[in-house]
Amino acid sequence: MQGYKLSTRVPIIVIVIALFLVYSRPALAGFGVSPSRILEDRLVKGSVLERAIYLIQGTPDRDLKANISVDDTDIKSWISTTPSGDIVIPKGTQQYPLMIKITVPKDAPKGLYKAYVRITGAPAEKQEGEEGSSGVNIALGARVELDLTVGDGIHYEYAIRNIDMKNINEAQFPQVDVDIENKGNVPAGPAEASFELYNKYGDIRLAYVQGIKLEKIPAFKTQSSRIEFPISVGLSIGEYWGMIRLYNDDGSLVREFKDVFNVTEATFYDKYGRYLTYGFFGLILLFIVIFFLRRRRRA
Amino acid sequence: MQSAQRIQWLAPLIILIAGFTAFVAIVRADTASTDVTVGNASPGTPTVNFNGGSAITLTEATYKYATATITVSDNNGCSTINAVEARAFLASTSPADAGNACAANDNSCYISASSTIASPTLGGCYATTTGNTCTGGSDTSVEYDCGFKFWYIAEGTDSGAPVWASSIWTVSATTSDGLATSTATNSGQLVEINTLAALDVTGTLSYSTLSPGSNTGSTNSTTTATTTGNIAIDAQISGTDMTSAPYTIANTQQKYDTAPCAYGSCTYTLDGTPTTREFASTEPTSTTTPKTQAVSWGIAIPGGQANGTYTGTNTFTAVND
Repeated sequence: MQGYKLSTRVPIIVIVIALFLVYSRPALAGFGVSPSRILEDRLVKGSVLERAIYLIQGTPDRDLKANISVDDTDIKSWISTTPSGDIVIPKGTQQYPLMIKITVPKDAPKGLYKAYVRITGAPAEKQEGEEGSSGVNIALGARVELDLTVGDGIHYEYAIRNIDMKNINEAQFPQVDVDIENKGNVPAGPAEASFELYNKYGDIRLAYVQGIKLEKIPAFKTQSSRIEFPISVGLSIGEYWGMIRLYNDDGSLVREFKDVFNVTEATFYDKYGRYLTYGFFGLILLFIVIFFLRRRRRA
Repeated sequence: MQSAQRIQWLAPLIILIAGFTAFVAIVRADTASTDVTVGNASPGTPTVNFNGGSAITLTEATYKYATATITVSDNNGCSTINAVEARAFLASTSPADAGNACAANDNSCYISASSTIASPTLGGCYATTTGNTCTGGSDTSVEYDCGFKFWYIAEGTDSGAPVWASSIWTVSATTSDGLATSTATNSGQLVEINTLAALDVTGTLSYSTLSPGSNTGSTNSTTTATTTGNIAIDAQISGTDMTSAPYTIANTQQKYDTAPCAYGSCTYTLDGTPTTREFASTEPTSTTTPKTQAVSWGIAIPGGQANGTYTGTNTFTAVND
């Protein structure tokens, strides 16, 4: 019956034509994800792991609609992303950040787990006047692979990713930023730091500070810590060399790093701001005390 | 009495004149000519800060700049420094020995140098205008910024990298004052390049005009997937039904293969579930001869399908090989 209706609707010559036209348009431009794999084999029950990945486009010449989802697996509920669902990557954005958070339940059985975060871009929306009213659009996407191992052993391991000697002003003590990645599942990191200050030629030692205690980095996190070294000499404007040493709990040397830093002129506030602040709050306190004393006398 | 008073005045005067004479003598001694030669001090060991210690995320199909800041010192004065060269290279887990001299290639070695060095291959090293500048005179240190143009094929070294997970990228910098050189690496840092799984799909997916009940036979429409990241990839392929409201052609009417195929013998049938298809393309090693994978497509039009212009979307998702 249906075939009969069709044949009456369409002229016999064209009997049969379905126009599938179709030239398709090229895909938007490339698309990718970096890094494309998160490998973590030291998780334990209750571990929380966060990683930043980037959605990459080489030629982001249009806003790109995309969808972020977690594939259905037995650990889908462990995984969340920020953002999630439908997003728009603005035109001109070559690297769009996406946070992936993995929360291992406290009752999770030990084992190997695999999961995937999928990002699918929409095909280009046709602009007015653009050629081609139909066709098979090509959409691009990328997938992040999560390879997780949940065990019960203690893993203590960290890496010093970066050491950066900061420029300071006359009113400050030498400062060093240290980036540490905790690769283990318990808090970890160097225990102590020492600092040697040298003149601008790096050949005469001017000061030495040791025994600066450092905070441990939480499991699976990368953190930057600023270490301040309260040296016994005031620094005048100029160039200096600093040598920082980091030590483990057992006193063994982990890393030694020497770099030049500059001391610049301090502003009035840099020099006396602290005292002004103390003075200001001291005065307020004094006024409050006087106020209450007077009230009490009147009473 | 008068003579005694004269003697009282005279004595200090004589002592004063004698002292002055002695002083003049000393001054004259000071003006004796001296001859000191100040020798050349070798540039101090430079310090190297590569990308602030952060991992480098590449951009697919193109390049991404990363910078190394080289702090150079010279006790003869920073203005004597006349050349800086830096090499960023794939290295073992700890910063490599100073003096590494890799040859430039887009996978594993990038060279950046100041213009005083003949024919720098890529990028350049320039005295900073915003950081520690050389003010001349007794100023002994200066910063140079060396730019590296990292192409999308630079080897990934993060923990999930397929080959180089236990490696890092290191910068080795050499400075010169024209008479002596000094070399160092970014020993305080562990810098990674992240793996990048990316693809681009070009070409046309053109089935032309077909009659209901027919198929494309051995006439394929071909799409070409190009690997635009730094690792080998496969692709998951899926697609939607094609529609021409209110009519639909099921996505399963499309078949495809990684080699040319007659419709009936194409290996894979399209559906809505992303399914991994093995690509023969390997990790890219050159930006001029990219790794590609052709995918051949065919379609069959069910008998009785209404005429019209049908549209749909086929999706290629880059996945690790």
